[in-house]
Amino acid sequence: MANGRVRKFLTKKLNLSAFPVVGPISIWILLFVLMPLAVIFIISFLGRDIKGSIVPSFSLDNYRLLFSEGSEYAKSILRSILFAFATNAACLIIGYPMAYWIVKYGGKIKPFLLLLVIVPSWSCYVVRIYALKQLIGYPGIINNFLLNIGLVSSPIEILYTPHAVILGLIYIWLPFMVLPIYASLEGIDPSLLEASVDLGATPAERFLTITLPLSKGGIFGGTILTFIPAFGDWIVPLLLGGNKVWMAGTYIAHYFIVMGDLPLGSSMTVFLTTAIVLMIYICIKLGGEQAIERIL
Amino acid sequence: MFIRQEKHFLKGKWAICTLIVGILILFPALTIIAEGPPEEEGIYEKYVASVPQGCKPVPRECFEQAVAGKTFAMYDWAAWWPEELYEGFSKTFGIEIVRDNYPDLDTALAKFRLNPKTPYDYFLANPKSLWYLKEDEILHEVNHDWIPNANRYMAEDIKNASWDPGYRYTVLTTLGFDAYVINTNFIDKNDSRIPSWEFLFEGGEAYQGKLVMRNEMNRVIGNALKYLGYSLNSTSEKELAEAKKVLLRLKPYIMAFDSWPKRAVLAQEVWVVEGIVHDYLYLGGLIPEGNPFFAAYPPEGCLLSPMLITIPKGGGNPAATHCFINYLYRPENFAKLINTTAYGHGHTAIDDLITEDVEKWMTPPEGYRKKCEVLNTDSFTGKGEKLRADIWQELKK
Repeated sequence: MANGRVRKFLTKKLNLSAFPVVGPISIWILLFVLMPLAVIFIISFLGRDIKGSIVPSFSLDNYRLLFSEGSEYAKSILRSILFAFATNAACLIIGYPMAYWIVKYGGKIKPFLLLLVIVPSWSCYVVRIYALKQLIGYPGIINNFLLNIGLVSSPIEILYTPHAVILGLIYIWLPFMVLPIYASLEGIDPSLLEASVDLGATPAERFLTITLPLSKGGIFGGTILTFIPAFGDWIVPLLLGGNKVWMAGTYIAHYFIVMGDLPLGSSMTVFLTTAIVLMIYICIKLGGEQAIERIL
Repeated sequence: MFIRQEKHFLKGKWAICTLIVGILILFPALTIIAEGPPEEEGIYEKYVASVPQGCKPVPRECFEQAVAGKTFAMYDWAAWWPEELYEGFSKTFGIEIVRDNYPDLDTALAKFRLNPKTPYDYFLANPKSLWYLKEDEILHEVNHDWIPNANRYMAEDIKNASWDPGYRYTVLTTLGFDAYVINTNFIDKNDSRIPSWEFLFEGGEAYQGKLVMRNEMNRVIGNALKYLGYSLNSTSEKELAEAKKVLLRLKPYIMAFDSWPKRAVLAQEVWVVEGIVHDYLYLGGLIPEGNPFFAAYPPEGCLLSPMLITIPKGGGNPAATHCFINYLYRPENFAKLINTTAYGHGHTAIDDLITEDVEKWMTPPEGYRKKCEVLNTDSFTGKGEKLRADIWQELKK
């Protein structure tokens, strides 16, 4: 009797039959995602001594320090949100028409056009940033061209400015906006658009009432894939921003590596992770299941 | 017929001969297998014979331990020292070098602190990382009996340097002066403010924002303190507040914070660089028009940056580190190092071997070293660190 109940619990409640499928990935996530996060979470409440070694004294000091008056970290969070928002908006403005054009007019060369979008992301992240540096630096390809044709009299200073950081983030993350939008646009049933034409809808009405709502999942999926990495990035500000303006990720790297202050760095990480999880939740809420599907 | 002949072969006197020959071959072979390969005799003697005149070999005990270890794991900067030093060491001792490079010393220190058993035999440290590694008891003490060349040729004042009291854990390789360099294609080196720090901290209009500062908090703030006439290890809130003002005033003229702005310097995008001046002799040589760089040694003094060989406990072949130190301190080898890097040093027997060009870059004015300071715990721990971190964050907002 008891055995039967246990078996029922194991099969129905825990659904052990699914274990061979989801078990390994669950163990992986538990060991390499959740456990390190738990360690970071615990460390964030501890202190450190003069040598930088962690001291087991529980306190909320690190969190208080993060949000104390005039805290630069809190400002860097706002700055990161601003940069990530600008990146996301620009990726959407550039990426949506690109994806739309590929779906509508790509014809036989659609796979080739998609390949062009994907190919840059096959190369190393840092190499791509250095390539962009060659392009926007002085002397750089863009500045040399503008000077040679006489459009400008002195080089435009792009590199080592906040604009260069945003440009770099757009350049790096644009493919991750185009692809989910492409997938959602490709999935729209053409008969819906044909029916709307038959019913007298104008192109603008067709776009606003059919295409845009049905590609919502792609937009929010793309937002998750661009906003979140841009929010936590610290390599782009380092290489293209001349390390003059710090984002939240830069602070974390500074406290972990240069200062060796693991507790304070951990509290920053916990806050950043919480903010990111919250944003994912909002995107999924707004974009529905389709947003997750498009990411996958 | 053939079969009969074969039988005859096996049965006759030939069989006895074959048996005897077989035994003669088999017995020595079995002996060798039982005893292992014969020891290479005289490799230490060969090594001793190869040591140049005036230099001393490492003791036999050190040599044998190092050779038995077979490999030597190094952890240092990339592409800095001449490759022939490493090749020569491997050839001399028959030890394979396994090299790993760090991007900066803070990253390297973080690696050791997260895993004190990180398996390196050699780590090129600075005073900050040395202090932490000593505190964490991660380092072996140097066995001075095993480095006769360093004992003989290292300057006495280096042996009693502040970064390693008692000369217990380190052996100095190079000394870098953290001052500034100007590109004379764009900056007039006869500007009355050069070589004072005044030019760098107050001369923004002369270099029009084409300034790159090192991306290292203690060095940048330390040199600002030197400009103001204070110790670069100061923990005085008043003095640091003044340094902060100087740096915030300078901020609009800073193009970037970059510890090794090679591309920008070669492109002549940068006109003034704050950093280890010696590095720019090499870079200047890569510019086709000739070396346009001028090393400024500010009379107020600057940060002195010694690079120190240390022996982490996680490595398996500390004897090899001693062999390397002893090999490096041979005058001919040390001269190769200095003629490549143009860094300062504490070797007493290489003056005649240094090239004129390197001499110019390597050597600051007479008595200059006394005006310089090395970072100490005041600046990178406790209150000093906290005050500097606050200034640094304000500078990066």
